[in-house]
Amino acid sequence: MKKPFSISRRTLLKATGAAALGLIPVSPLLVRAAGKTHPKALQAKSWAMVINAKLCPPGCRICSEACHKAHNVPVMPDPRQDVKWIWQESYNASFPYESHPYPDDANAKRTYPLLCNHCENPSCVRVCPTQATFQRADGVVMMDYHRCIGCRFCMAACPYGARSFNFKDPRPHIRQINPTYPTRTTGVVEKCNFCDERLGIGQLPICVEACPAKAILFGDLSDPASPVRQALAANVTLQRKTKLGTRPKVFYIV
Amino acid sequence: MNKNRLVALGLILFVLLFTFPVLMNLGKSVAKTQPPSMLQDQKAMQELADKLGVKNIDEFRERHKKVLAEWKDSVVRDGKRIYVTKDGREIPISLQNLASQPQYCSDCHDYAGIEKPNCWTCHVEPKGGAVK
Repeated sequence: MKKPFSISRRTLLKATGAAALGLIPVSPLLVRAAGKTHPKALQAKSWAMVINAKLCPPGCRICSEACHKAHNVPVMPDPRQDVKWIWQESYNASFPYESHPYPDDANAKRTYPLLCNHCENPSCVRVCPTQATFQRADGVVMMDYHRCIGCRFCMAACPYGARSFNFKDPRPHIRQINPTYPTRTTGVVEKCNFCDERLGIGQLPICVEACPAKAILFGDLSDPASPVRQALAANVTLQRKTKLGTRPKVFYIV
Repeated sequence: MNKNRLVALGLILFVLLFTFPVLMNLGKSVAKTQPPSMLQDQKAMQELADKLGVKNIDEFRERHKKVLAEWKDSVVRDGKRIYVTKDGREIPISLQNLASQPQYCSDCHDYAGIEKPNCWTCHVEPKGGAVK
């Protein structure tokens, strides 16, 4: 006699499978708002920068000042709470693995503009627990300040010191607020964004434009005709701390 | 007899204490429940809805938070700075443009008894009008 409620293993599996299929909703997270890029937006497969440090007068801060003014970077009274997007360091501090105590005269005097390297293999992105920092398809390592929880893992992970934390409200320490760009708030990390907001409307990064010596070149690393690739082909260049395997995309002509 | 008086006194005290928050706010809440005048201004509200790319102010009320989150993702994640609405209109994604009357945000949030929007701790508040 057939047992009551008897069901074969096969039927049970089929039924469960069918029921499970019915439960899968179309994930609302996958549906992205319809958007369009600005008609003038600059696009690339991999943005990169070449800095001809030979053209940088020692101690020149024009690029930093232009950048910090455009991006509402505060000047904090306590240097330990410094916020910086692009700053200057000596040769030995910039290239610790390529230096020794006896640099040539020119390099001994020179200061190098340093910024986020927008690495191809960014350690900050790997450690971020909230995906607040991420790598865009065009290679820009971006920050979503709305998601940043201020854990500062990225600051520990970045070997270039390119990230700064807002220990205090930066607003009162911004000399002149640029209304077209947001400020940050207490408890978030910030860094250079390769001027995403300018690329998006067809302008080159502000440091590239501001440099009176035209020492900073910007372009698509995957395009052999780009100014970046031409400069790389014509000069001996260095990247910072290559042995760490982050594959930086900021190159220096030294 | 004495006991009954004590009980009555206790009851009165209890009722007074229990209704204290209500009694204290009697008459005070009236001002807050008056809808802000801008809500009556049909034209201004339609303009606001148009800037967000929604049909009308009711849809604005329902969806603005979601649309703003979509805007943020679109710009930050995808680099897309123009929002295309369902009916095909293209709107520049800009909080500055949307909140050109920034007091609308705080007035409406006040009226609805919702936390004040915290957009302006980072985004620079436009100088559209009186700021609360």
